[in-house]
Amino acid sequence: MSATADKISSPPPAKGSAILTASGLRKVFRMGDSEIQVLSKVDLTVASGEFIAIEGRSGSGKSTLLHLLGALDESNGGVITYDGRDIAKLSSSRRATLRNTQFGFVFQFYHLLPELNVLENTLLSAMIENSLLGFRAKKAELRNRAKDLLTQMGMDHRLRHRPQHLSGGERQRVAIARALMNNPRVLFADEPTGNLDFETGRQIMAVLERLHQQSGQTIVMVTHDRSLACKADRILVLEGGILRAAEK
Amino acid sequence: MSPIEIILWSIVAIAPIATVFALISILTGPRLISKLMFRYLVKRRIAWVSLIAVMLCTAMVLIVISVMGGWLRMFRQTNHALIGDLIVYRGSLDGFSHYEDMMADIAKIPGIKAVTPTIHAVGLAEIGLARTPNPIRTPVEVVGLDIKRIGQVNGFVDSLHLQPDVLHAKSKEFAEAAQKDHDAVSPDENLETAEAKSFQAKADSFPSWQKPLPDEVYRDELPKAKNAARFGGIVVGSGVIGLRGNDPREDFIYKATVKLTLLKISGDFASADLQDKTSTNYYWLIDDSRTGVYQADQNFVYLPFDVLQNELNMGASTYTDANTGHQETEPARCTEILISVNPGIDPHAIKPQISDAVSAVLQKFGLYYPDPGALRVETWDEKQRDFLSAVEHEKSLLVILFAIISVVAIFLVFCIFFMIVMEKTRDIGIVKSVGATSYSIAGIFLGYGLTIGIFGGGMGLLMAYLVVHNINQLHAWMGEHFGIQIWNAKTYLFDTIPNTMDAYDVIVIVSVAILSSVLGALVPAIRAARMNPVEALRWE
Ligand SMILES: Nc1ncnc2c1ncn2[C@@H]1O[C@H](COP(=O)(O)OP(=O)(O)OP(=O)(O)O)[C@@H](O)[C@H]1O
Ligand SMILES: [Mg+2]
Repeated sequence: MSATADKISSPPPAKGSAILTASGLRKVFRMGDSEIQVLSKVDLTVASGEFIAIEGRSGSGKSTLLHLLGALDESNGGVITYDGRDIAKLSSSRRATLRNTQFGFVFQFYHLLPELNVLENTLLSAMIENSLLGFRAKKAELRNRAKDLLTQMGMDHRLRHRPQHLSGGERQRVAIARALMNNPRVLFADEPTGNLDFETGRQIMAVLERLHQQSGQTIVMVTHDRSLACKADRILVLEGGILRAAEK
Repeated sequence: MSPIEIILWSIVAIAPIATVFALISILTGPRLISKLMFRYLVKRRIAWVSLIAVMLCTAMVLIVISVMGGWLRMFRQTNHALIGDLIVYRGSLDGFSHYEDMMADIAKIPGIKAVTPTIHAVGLAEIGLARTPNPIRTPVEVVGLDIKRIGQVNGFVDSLHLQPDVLHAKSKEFAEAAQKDHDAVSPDENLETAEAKSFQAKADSFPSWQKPLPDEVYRDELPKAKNAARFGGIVVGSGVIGLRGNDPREDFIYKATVKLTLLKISGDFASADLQDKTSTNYYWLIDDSRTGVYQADQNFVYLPFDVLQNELNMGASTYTDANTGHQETEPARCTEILISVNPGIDPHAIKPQISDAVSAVLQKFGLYYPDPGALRVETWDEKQRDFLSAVEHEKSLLVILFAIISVVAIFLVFCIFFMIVMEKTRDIGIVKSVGATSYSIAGIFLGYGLTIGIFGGGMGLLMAYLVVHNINQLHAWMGEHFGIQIWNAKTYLFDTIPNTMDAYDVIVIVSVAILSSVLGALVPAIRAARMNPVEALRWE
């Protein structure tokens, strides 16, 4: 059950090489007798260090695609590879390990745990990766890393606060810190600013941009805001279940 | 095994497996398991409801089982103490002869500690307590026993109120009073000195039939009777004179006269000799006995074995046979022989040897006691088996009750956990999206159930301990304030409620409480573990 044992270790690919690919991805939702085909044939290659924005109208399947790429959900066809390996062929606990150590998620509605404070929420992935004793042994180190991240996010003064006492923008900063805790290779962001006012959204966006520029963080972001999408290296549009490139 | 049994047993097997799984998850699984488990426990007040439910169920079962089990133990102990280890008896009050030969042979069996005969007879007691105008008139069962030997066989001697320490204390009291009166030059001094001496003498001869008071006291009490000081002593069951529980004994009780009318029963049923059917005699009440067995304490009075045997004409006698003119000897009779065995000897194992010894004597003297009224050899628990088996039945009823209570607790935990899982659906999605495996999710909720079981069971144990240990005070308090009297000495044989807990019962019941909680959490835990993270995240 220990995640450490399963940790997928591979040398970091050189900047620009593909780490995540999707080909012919199909996703169908069944509701009783009717079927909704959300993704029909999606092809995508995410290169290391890239910042990709995926655009699309509401209901076009952006979140669905992100969940598939992030190994949260299973497709009805097509192949997703991470580091050259077909993630559909991994066991469910290996996929959990992948999510824990290689991927980071930021959601529109922050999704922080209300019972944990800011620091504990940030430590979430570390608390999943390490056992009771393992965590104790590394406690200081892990806490320092979490505090560092929260400092970067400008949240170091609210360590003991619970999420319900924070504003939306503050919550999203904590969510980003949490997503970065285990040093993910790919950061998925699903409309990270969708629930925030313009100014706050811009600030969050600036955080992501800085991450990308300063540490070469690979980011796959979903948005339906063209002005935000423009900050990315590449813009893709999801429409009619197919992903195509778009002009900046 | 029937399908239902298979289902039941698999449930029983699953609980410990789930518990072990929960423990392993907490200890070796992600740190998050213990973290969230305790957070949920503290922050989700609804979980306290299940905690309290587990606590109350545990406490209730523990209390009931402890009282019941304690009662059973006391019941067995006191019944054992009343009889001894084994008994040879006839179901007929005319008793049996050649008991001395039987006793001699039984005593030779290795492992036998002591053997003593007793006689049971029926009579009417009229007890004139000093200071009460009307005597108590009550039917009694009169027991004749050898007070010097009975102590080696059963608990009669311990059941007496005037134990050596009590006698010493009384003697001292009188001696001090005498000293005071000596200083005050009071004429009471002589009597008090005599009383101090007589109590001391009784203490020194304990156990004995000796009267506790000096002759002059008895003469004073019954001035009209010429030979009052020569009456023998009698011991009565504490209930016979209306003493309950630990009532303080007033001294006047030991100034009571007992007029005892005995019913003589001839061994020869067909002789139709209606003369001399009763005998009446006076005794001084010298002590009271409290065996703890209600029937005995309410009905028994005790006399020296030979006194009773003589009164009933059950002693050996010689007579001239009218037909043959020969001198014949009528052998002495008793109604039962009580036997004790050495420590470590099983009464059941030694019983056949005793039966053989008894049969051999019967054969040797050509004695034959047909049913009903056959001569039987039984262990004490066989003698009381009707009673004991009734109690055993009550116990199995309790076990069923216990099972139902466990089901209720399991169901409660199940409902509350189901609610918590529903409520926490989104959290489950979040935790999974951050990389928790299904096992970890199951571990969180099973661990949660385990903690509730441990805390609930522990608190239940504490509560049960407090209640059981103070149950008699609690009962008295309830009686005083609400007029509630649940424990009735008539039904339950003892006047105090058992107030001890059995370690084995505690371990079993608390374990069952813990396992039940885990079992109740199992289905919600599996549900949580199987949840699709994306759907969980969409949960509103
Ligand atoms: N579990 C499900 N069952 C049935 N239909 C679903 C399910 N999940 C998503 N859908 C449908 O799939 C389509 C795409 O949903 P998705 O959430 O991916 O859209 P989106 O592009 O993220 O939209 P938005 O911009 O509003 O977030 C929608 O029409 C939605 O109704
Ligand atoms: Mg969406």
